[in-house]
Amino acid sequence: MRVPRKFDREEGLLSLDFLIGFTIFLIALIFVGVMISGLLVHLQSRTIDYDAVAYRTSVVLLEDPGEPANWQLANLSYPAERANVKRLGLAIQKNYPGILAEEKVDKFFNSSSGCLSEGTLCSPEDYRGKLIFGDYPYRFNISLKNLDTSSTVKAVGDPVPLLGSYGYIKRIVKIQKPDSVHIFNVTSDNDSTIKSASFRFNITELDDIPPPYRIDPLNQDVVIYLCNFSDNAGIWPNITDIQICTYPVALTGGGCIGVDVYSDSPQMIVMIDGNKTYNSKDMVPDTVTKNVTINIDRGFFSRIGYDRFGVIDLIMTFDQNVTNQEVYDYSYSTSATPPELYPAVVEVCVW
Amino acid sequence: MVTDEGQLYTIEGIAAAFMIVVTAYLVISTTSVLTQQDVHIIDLQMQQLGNDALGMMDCPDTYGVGSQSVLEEAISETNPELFNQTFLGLVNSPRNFAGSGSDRLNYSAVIYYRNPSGTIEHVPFGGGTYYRENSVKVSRWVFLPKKSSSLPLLPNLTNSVNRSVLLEVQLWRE
Amino acid sequence: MARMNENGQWIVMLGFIISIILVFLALIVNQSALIGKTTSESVLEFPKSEIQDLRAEIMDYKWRNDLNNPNILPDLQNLSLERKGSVIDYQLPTGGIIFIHYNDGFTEYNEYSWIGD
Repeated sequence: MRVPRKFDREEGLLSLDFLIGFTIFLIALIFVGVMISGLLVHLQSRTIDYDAVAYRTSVVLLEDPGEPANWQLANLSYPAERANVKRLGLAIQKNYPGILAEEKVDKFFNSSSGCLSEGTLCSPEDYRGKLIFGDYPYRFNISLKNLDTSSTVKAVGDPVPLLGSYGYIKRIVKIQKPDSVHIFNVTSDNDSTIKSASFRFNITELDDIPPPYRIDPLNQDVVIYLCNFSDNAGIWPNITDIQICTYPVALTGGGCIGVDVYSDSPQMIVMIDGNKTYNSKDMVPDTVTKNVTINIDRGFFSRIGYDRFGVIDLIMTFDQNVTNQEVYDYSYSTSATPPELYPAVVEVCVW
Repeated sequence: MVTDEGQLYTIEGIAAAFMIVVTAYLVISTTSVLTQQDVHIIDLQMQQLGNDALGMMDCPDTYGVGSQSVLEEAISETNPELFNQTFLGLVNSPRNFAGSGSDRLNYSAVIYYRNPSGTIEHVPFGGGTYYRENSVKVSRWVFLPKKSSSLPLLPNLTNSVNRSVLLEVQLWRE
Repeated sequence: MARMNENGQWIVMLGFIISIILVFLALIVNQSALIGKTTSESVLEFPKSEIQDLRAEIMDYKWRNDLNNPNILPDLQNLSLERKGSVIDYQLPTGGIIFIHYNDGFTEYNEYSWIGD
């Protein structure tokens, strides 16, 4: 029998207030319980992502030419030029992923402790800021092994941990070995009619080959070897002048400039007989008895402002007749070893 | 003194506490997350390696008349052995730092091409036998320059003009 | 007239308010979690190598001055559709520009590129 105005402990009835509150609370609790596992994923540590960072680093390094694309010419002793290098990439060009330029590879793996003064890349700051990116200071190890010789392994970064997990990716690439020396011969005195030896860099013609096999005097070192000199009745020829010219002068605004103006790299060095340097300013005559070697650093043509012309001539004038060839072509046929590719393996470890 | 007043409140309190504890436990235990990442990472590494190897084999080392890439040479001169050695040499190359041996990847290759009537034909091109391992498939277009006679490996391919064929390689770890 | 039972009004109201706040917070913060995919899935899905390979093949024809070869399009299109399930289109150079199209259902790639005279 129900007793009025007393708590009904045996009736199993709950007040409506309680039911409504309880229902709302329960629904909210279920919602939160299901979603909270998603909330906590944000707080994950970085361990899962190492492989992704390694993959991304390998793509930026091996499939991108870097920013600027000719960053291997930058002189890193100057802070402004160092800051101008935004991204390190080893590819020769934008459309050739996996084909690396040897100069870029050499410069990339050349990091030292005295990096700021010596003009090399600083490990790990430069690599983190220009290659790996991101706020977290990842530790890394990037190594390259030449598969043909499999001799030395170039590496940069900390040693790979033996214990513990790290992100890893292995990539296979080809490295372009640039061409070596171009050898030309002077002709004997009986046949020679011209006092100057002109070496022609026909950039337009050189660019007619796919970039991995291309000779690129603007961005690669140039070595010219002129030999077979003979004396004319006991008198050896003297070099009187060296000029670099572009043609035609009137239309393209080019001209001629004398060289040995620069004493720091990128510069042009002319060696006579393998031991004397050509110097037009001193009073010593530059006599050639055996051969002349011309070394032009990469980036020299850009430095003198001649990197936008299709044809560049380097004219070396003597005081005697030395040749009967109007122009020596610096081209694929005169190269001792044209550019070729060799395979390599690059491994990127990040932890 | 123990009476039976306030039973409902007590039950309510116990039930609420129980619910909170169970929910908290479920929540914490489900945040040990997602291991499907592991499987995909292995696939990613194998696929990138296979694509890299095929890409580098498709690139001749020198330029000029007579220079051929490994893929072109292996297909034109019916040399699946050359393909086998070069490909496995590239993908199974040992780690740069000594301490671990070579990898144990194996492959199975097929070449697909279009015959004169327009249908796709295929020719096996060497490799191991695939059972049930976790595998990825990588492929590469191979440029075959025109030749005066047809290739013995691809008899129904009209190669009096330059043609493209598809080389498909299934790659797995033994 | 029976008075409405005003007991527990505070409890119900506060419970209601707190529930709403909890739901609101959970919904907002949960927007980004678990809806996306793992990084490797995204990488596997993007056809980087396919597109690079396709471009390389067409450039092979370019370096041999054979871009007008009538076999390019049927070869690439049929093989790609049959074996890889992706659609490729290629248009002959007009005015020194070629057009390459690739679509594998996830990613679409269009390129007009200048290949010189």
